Amino acid sequence: MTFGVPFLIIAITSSGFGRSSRPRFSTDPETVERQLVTSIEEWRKELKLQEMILLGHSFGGYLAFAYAIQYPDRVKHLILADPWGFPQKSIDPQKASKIPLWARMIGNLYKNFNPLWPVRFVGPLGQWVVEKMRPDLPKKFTPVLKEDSSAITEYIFQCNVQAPSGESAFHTLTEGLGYAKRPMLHRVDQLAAHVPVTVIYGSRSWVDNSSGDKIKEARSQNSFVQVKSVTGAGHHVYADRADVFNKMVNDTCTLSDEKLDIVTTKAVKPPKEPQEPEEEVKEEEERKKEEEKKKEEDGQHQQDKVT
Amino acid sequence: MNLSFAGCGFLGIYHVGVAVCFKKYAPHMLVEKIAGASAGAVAACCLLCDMPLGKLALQVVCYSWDCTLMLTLHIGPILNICPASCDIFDWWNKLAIHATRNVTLVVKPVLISLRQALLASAFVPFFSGFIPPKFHGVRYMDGGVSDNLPVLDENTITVSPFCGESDICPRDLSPQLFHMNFANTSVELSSQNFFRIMRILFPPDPEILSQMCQQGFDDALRFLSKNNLINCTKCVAVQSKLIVVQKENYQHPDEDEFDPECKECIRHREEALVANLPPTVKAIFQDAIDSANKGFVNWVFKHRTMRLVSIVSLPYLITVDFIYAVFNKFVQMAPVLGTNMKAVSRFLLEQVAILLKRFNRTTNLTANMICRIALTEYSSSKYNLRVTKYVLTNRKVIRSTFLTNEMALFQMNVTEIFDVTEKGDLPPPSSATLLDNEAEPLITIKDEDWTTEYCEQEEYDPEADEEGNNGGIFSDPESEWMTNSSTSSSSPLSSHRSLTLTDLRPESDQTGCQHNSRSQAHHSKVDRKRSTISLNISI
Repeated sequence: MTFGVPFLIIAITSSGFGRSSRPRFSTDPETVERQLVTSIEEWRKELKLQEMILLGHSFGGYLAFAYAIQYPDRVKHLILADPWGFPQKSIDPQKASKIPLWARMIGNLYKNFNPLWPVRFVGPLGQWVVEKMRPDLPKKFTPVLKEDSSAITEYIFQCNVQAPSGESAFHTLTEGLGYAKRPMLHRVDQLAAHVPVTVIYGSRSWVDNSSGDKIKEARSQNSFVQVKSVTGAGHHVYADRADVFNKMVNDTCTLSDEKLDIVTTKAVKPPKEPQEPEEEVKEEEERKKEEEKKKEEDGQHQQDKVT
Repeated sequence: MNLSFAGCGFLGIYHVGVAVCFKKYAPHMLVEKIAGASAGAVAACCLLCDMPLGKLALQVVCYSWDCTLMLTLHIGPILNICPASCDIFDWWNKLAIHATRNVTLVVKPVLISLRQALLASAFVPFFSGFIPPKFHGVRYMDGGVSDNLPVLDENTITVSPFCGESDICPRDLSPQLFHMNFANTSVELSSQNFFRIMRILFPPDPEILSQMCQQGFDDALRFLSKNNLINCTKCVAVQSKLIVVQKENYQHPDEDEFDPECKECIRHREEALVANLPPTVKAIFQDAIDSANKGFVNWVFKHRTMRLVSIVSLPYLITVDFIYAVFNKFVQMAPVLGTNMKAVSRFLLEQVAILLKRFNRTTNLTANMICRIALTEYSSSKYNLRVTKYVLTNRKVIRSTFLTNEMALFQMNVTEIFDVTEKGDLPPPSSATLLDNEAEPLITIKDEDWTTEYCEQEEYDPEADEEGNNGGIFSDPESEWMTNSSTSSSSPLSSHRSLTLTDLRPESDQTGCQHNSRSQAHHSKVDRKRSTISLNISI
């Protein structure tokens, strides 16, 4: 199943990540979030897109949601693939105390650094470290990359060995890496009711699957929210079960065209821009390249689809 | 659906919890294959052979207690629980045990084979011993080295005691974005996982073991209820029937309609929500915890100063323990020590021999062999000549037979290129060049042992040969000889009365021949390159 065939697909890496520029972000979580969202909006303005289906994975899901809250009229459909940063951190002091001191010390120490510091710390050995720590990543992408499986680890290494500005921004937003300082579940009601939301989870993922249902509960009755689960897929849903995931996304995209008229949409649908087939091919190629190379980055980008 | 258990040393107690849950609430899931590595394999085996899991839990607890006292480990004691009478024939093909080299050990339906496979899969070097155990003649190590969490197909439910991306695994308080992937098992980089990793080889207290078991039970239950796999027995039967019907594409009016709102199922699910470990398993842990807390000795050992003392004395204890274990091992091995030593020394000698041969690598050898051919009989105006020539090489006899219609001195260069292989069933491709005339060489290469050949040639008497008694000289089968004769007779030239010539000893004396053959043999053994022999025959 090819990904989003009838649509023009643009894959972006938000600033501070991947091959994007590395600006210095604020240290205040709220400002960081605004900065990142604004950068997406700037990009949209530059491309003169009226409306788009916004797909975000992991941290990208968080950003996509934040963007949809701020610019609901630009988002035709919001797809969150294993989104990070929805639940509130809950500390059970009784359980936490059972972890021995030394283990907690390692955890607390690690918390104070940018999450990927070991990769930079080991210098030229970084790629080797990535390969050894995540041998599953190249494996996930073998159907796309065929024999050139080292490209993935090399890409990850090259992206993360640079100035970690996006990483620090992410670090600012996190609470113990797993949770967000400003969890999205508290802000679900701020999302305009007419924005349809689809949440896709991997069944094996560490991300709390219950957030999807909580989003559903928190939104008003006539808002569209669907929660899907990909069995046998981990956090990298799009790669673990690419076929199933692509089908889900495609279904969701077509769904937004046909059935969602019940939802009161304020934005007037713009006439579809006629596109040259050549351009589409080019875009497709670009998309593939982007998808192959950039998607594996945990929460460091989001994908925007534009109809 | 298949089940797969990750290897995890003492955290295997987690698998016990999972197994208990599956047995209680989803026995219908256990009909297909169950895979596992290391401790996971033991769990898979116990689940299949339907042994009381409480017993397994007890063994693990007792065993971990032993291990805290004694460091040297062996998985053997745990395997003793496998009841000798268990009906291995029912389930042996459902079990997939993983070991190093990414292989699934194919267990034969014999208990000893199963035992060996489990031992091989659970062998941790330095911890369980130094020489990996053999399974069907091949040595294996712990499955955790290569593939810790074997995945049989897409519908495999993976069970891992480490928080990570598995179907059934503990969910830690603080989810971590970063994962490590160790031998196919995804492990989250969280402080709880650090703690768990430390417990793989160093067993924790009974309390923690009990918690882990409970955790396994809870996680499995959560998985089952999330995927709606908890059903009552009746519904399970109906469901399985439905699957069969779907497979056969056969439609028939259902007498037992599958009812998603079956009351029995709902009751089952509600019951499961508040379920806990079965009392049999729980009691074992409780006993272990109590016995660990009771008594004066335990109280002394629990005291802080005593703990400090034990930590400080650890280096000495390890040494003593190690020496004791080595001594024990020697005592155990005493009856077979002699044979083992012999085997080891033979192996070492072989290795040395191979090494030496590698140093003795020589260049290609080219040898000239000159033979004189005596004509024993000749008549007719047309000089038909048949020469039978034996060239001795390593395990090969080239017999070249050719005919000529001219009685002359001629030179034949047999440029024989052949691979001197040990098992040359077929004659290797040979090429022969006859310089002087149109004679056809027939070269047959026989697979013979050259030494015996040579010895026979030593005894070879040219006088005897002249009497035509040449058939059995070269331990050549008679039939071969006959075939060759017939070949030559079938050729047009041989319609005339043929002159048979049998070769005599080569002109270059026998020692030269011998040397050549020897070096040939040596050479062929060393690198088995093609060699060239040019053969000059002068009449």
